[in-house]
Amino acid sequence: MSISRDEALDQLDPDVAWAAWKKSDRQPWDRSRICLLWRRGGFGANEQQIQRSLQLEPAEVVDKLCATNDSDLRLSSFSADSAALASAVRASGDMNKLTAWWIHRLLNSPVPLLEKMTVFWHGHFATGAEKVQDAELMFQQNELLRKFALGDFRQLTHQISKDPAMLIYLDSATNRKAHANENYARELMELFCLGEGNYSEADVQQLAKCFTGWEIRRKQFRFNSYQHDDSEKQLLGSSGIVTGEQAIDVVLKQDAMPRFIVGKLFQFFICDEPTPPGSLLAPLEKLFVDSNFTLEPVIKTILRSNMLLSGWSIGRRIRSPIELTIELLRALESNTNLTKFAASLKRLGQALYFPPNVKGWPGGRSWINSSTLIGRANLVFDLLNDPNSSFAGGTLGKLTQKLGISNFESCINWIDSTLLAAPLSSNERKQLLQILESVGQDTMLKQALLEVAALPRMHLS
Amino acid sequence: MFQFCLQFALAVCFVGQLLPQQVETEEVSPLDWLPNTTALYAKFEPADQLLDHPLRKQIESLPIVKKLWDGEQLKQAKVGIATFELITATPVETVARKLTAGGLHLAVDAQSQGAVLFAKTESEKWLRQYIKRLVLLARNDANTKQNANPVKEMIYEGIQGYEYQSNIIALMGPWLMVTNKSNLAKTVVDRYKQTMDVSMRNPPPESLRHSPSYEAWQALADGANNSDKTKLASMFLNLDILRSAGSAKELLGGKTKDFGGELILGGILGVLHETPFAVGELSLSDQGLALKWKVPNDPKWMGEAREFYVGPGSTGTAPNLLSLDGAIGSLSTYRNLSQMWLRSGDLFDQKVNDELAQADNTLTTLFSGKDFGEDILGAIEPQLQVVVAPQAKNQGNQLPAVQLPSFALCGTMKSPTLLRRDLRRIYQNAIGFFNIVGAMEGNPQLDMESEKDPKSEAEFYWAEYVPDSDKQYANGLPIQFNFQPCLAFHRNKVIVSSHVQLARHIVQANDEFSTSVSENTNHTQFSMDGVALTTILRTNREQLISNNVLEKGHTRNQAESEVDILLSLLEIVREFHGSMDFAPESASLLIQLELNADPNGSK
Repeated sequence: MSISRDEALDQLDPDVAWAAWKKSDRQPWDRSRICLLWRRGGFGANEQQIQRSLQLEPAEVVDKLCATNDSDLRLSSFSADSAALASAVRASGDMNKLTAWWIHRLLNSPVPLLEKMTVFWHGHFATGAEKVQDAELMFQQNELLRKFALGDFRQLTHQISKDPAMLIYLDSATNRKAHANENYARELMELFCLGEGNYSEADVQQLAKCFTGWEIRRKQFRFNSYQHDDSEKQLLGSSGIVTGEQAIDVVLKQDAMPRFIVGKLFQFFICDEPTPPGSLLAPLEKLFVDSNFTLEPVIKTILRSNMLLSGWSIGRRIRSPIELTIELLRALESNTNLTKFAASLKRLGQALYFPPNVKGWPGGRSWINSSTLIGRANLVFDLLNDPNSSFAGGTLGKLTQKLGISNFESCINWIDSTLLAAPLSSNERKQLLQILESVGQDTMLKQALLEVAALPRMHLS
Repeated sequence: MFQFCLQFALAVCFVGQLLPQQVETEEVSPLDWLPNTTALYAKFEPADQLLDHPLRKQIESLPIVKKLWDGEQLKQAKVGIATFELITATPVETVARKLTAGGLHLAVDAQSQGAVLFAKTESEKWLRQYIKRLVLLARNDANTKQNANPVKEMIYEGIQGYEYQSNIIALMGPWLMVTNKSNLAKTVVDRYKQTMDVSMRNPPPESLRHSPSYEAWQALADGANNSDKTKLASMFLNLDILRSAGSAKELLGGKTKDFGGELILGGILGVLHETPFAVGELSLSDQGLALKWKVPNDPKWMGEAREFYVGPGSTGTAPNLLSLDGAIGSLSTYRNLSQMWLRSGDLFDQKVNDELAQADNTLTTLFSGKDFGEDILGAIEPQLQVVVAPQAKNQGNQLPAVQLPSFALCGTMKSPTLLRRDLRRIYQNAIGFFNIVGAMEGNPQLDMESEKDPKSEAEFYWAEYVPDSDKQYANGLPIQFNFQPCLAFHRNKVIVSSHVQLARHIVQANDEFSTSVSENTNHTQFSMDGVALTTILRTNREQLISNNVLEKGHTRNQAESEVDILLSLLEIVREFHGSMDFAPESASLLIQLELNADPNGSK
């Protein structure tokens, strides 16, 4: 059983959609499918990862993408290096360096899915450094998001509710019983857990009262019992609610919660639009509830599914600036000036630690406009030409040799199969070949990448 | 006999006629071939002078250098050199000696915007053979990689030339010429042909040698001993040409955009705005390297606005350098800060002046109604001393995660009794202000202390950051803990220091400093201790590595390797010092780098 690419979302059989994809003669486990899985479940793959994945079953690749076991030597070595780097960056208190540190993780982590989900939760529990004004607090929140990125959503919600950066961002730092601040209460239900239409204004007021006395003192969460409204509150149909913790549990128990979270995961992994019908998401919702709101089983199911791997999802997401650039750099085994790179991402509308507002980045079509489209091509140009950029530890010429790219045709094939969601048309290939013939073999990969970066299909995932 | 005498006399006359021409022929050099639009010209002595210098052996025998040379970091470079030597069948050192046997000349021409390098090689024969071998190698390499022939041969006016990667290479007798501009190559070859033609008695009149500034340059540089065996290179920079070409507009335009820039560079820019050229000399002695730049000067160029920098009639001199054991660096200079503050309207644009007016209001409030420019800055003499020293470790077992050095500014009070009281009160206000702002931002608080040293009668007022008792500092103390802001008085001197220990150190080590009269005649003096600098950098090695990883895209191993090489190289530097002068006729800058060439003295 498979899914046809032309089928509409509301016509799909949910059981077939979420069943594990199986390879067949018609749908082989090939390079393009592997690249699709690595793109959606991480930030793309380099040649070595592609070749290794060809030897594995899809489920095994998904397990590897999710493997966060510290006993993994590569992970523990990376974690030690990243911790040493973080320590130096935190001591400087410089937000630009902190952003560069996170990009270093996006680029080098052996578990890219963990970083991808951390970016997802950063957009979900959006907190802006321009208001928090403290690199250490932003770092601590980032570590919290990473810790629960694939874990227990309930615990994540409880802990983010007491996170100092979040409390500062949503004005809960001084939440007094005489004047309860409704900001966090409203966003907890509207943006973080339930979605619009699943609560009333009275619920917002009651929930805000539960959070009174939750304060920040000397950059740490403190419960001030004198400022807590300890009356019994009615919230979302439940009564006798006194504390903030009890209130969060009531919110998390709402039927709307799993639907809301699974819907956002669907949008993040499968397609930007349209909104899927409730029936299609029902199996995922059930799995989320059955697994005690642990995220990993749901994400694994999505990544192994017909919905993703049958090909229906190809080109149905627009790459975010982070995805576009990190996927390119990972495929090219590249490292570059990360502080400069971090500043460039701001111009494309995705400055890490600086989401536009509490709603996070809207994503989808909003990533693309006439300005960002040119900006994206310019950023690719800058990355390829930066004197600090290295490719497989050397030049692009060295990488070309390592990849076994010996002529223009193989150069275009490699880009087509590795970096593009939808293959180049014959006309595009022809034009590309003509352009490459005017440059030498040494620079063909760079020239081809620059040309492809200007094509609309480069921005599809 | 008469016949013989006549023949002898004729012969003497003939030789006499020939002699000047021979001397001229011997002296023919790139000065005759370069156009008079040359903006930069530098002549380097043969590589022998560097390679055979006793300092080379001393440096090579240093344990640090041996370790570096045998280490992994330079392995790739060594393999590259060995491969090159194997292919060319000549050791690199021999090539360097033969290639530069008659010296190296480097020039940049403003008109063609081209750079050109001349090397007078050991012989025409050797040069031809060596270039031929290199051309063959490049062609074979391209052939192996199935690339096109990278070297194009050409003959111009009988001179053998090559084009490689848009650069022109020409073989002019024993001279090798390399340039990135073909029209500059043609100009040079044409002039070379003219000077080599025995029928022509005079070199081309439009050459650099015949340019108006050449004579003045020679006159200014004449102070240097031309037969000085320590000289490695002499340089000439035609600033008039650079100015008219619109290069380095900000530097040569004489203006700065901000207060800090004017404070540090104002006087230098004042000279560079007007002076026609600069001459430089690089020399190597048994102690190390010295670089001296000299420019013509006229006190009028500064105008009244920049008198704050050089003093009336360019007579401002610096006090003696503060010498402290273990200090990283020291600087003493003349700077009339009050005059600069009050003359800001003549020095800066409207935007900067608006900002300064705002700052003046705020500072006047903070300084309890005293006018900041006139009453505060005006109460300090323009002779200033700055010293930078390693951080004192006085926070128990815990240290700041980033360890910054301490620094102090010393000045002389015009009316010590009056100013002491004002400054003490202002200091208290400032600490209170920092505590209020710090408390609002959740930062640690400052606790004030004071002390009077009975021996020196120096007074110290300082404040110390107090760690939060309920807080763990797993990653080291925050950066603020580097500071114990201090105000100290010693006789007629005032010390503003980032740490009380440094202020104490200054008073103890220089008990006489408050009364000593400067014997110095320099406008500015500075010195930096290589070992102390390396120590503070080693303390912050982790920071350097993280910067390297984030800014150069290196892996941790690559970053560690690069940082360690840098630190090892810095250990070779014993001291870096220099001075700056503004005499009525000329201004000069001297920078000296003393090397730690004693193997026993090195770490």
